[in-house]
Amino acid sequence: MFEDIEAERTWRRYRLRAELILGAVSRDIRRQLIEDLTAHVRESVAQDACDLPEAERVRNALARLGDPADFVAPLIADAVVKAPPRAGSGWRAALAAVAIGGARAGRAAVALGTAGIGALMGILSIGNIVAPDRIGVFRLSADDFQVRLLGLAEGGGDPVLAPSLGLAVGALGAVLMWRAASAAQRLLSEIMMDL
Amino acid sequence: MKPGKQAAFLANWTSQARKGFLELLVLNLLGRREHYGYELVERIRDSSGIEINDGTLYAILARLQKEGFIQHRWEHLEKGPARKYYDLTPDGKNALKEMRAVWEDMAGAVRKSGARNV
Repeated sequence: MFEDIEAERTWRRYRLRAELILGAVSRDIRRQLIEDLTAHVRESVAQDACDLPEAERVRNALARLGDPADFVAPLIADAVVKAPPRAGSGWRAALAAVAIGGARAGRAAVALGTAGIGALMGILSIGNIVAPDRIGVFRLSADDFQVRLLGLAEGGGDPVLAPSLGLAVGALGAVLMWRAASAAQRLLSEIMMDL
Repeated sequence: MKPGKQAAFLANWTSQARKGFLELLVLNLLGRREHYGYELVERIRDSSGIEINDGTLYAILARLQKEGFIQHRWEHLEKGPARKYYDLTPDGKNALKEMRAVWEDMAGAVRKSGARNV
């Protein structure tokens, strides 16, 4: 498009950036906008003071155009908010709903599992502090361990969880529960936004 | 309101108000006669005094074309780069009429409701 190598390189970098940013909008709009920007830069460079080197005129034209991220933002917002319906959109929508529902169910299950493990660790930790001889992890033999959460039965064995280790387990349990709560909150917000 | 906060509020408000205004301005200019992009940018700058990035205009043109309000044709010049001329479609002319009426109503309402002591 330009004779000067630096001018051409500057323009190509800008165009590539614009194309990347425009990735979210439809192909027609992307093509039109790139076509417009190209025509504008050509015209702008042709109109600019001819005593300036071509590379500088291109830089001036691009500076006047501005950062593509700024002026393309409303188009991307448009594309996201009102994507045009396509043929077979009913099936696509149904498949998308199933996929989203499945992914959300999976995330809910992970959050629930994490919360459950966290709760068990918390119970184990508190029980271990309150009744270290009945609640905790016990070594029954060389390679046989038992986890006792409720401490209802007298099982014997040597307690493995020292109070400090019990506290660490409790802290880990709290972190897991906090993370599960955050994940659940995010999931609920997404679901509420879709309703 | 603190000066910094007020400036930020005004900048945001101006940006919001400008969006709709620029679309009307572009349609208005194209309602008079066809323009090519570069010329349109110059006209907007001259007629409104608004400092906009040239790219903003092309985003507006893309939007208006997608709505079916404007159409274009290419003109290949013997000397100089090819020019893409924009013009209003019949839908664009109707939209312009409606938008002008809304604009007049809003401007009238602002004038009528304006506090005298400000």
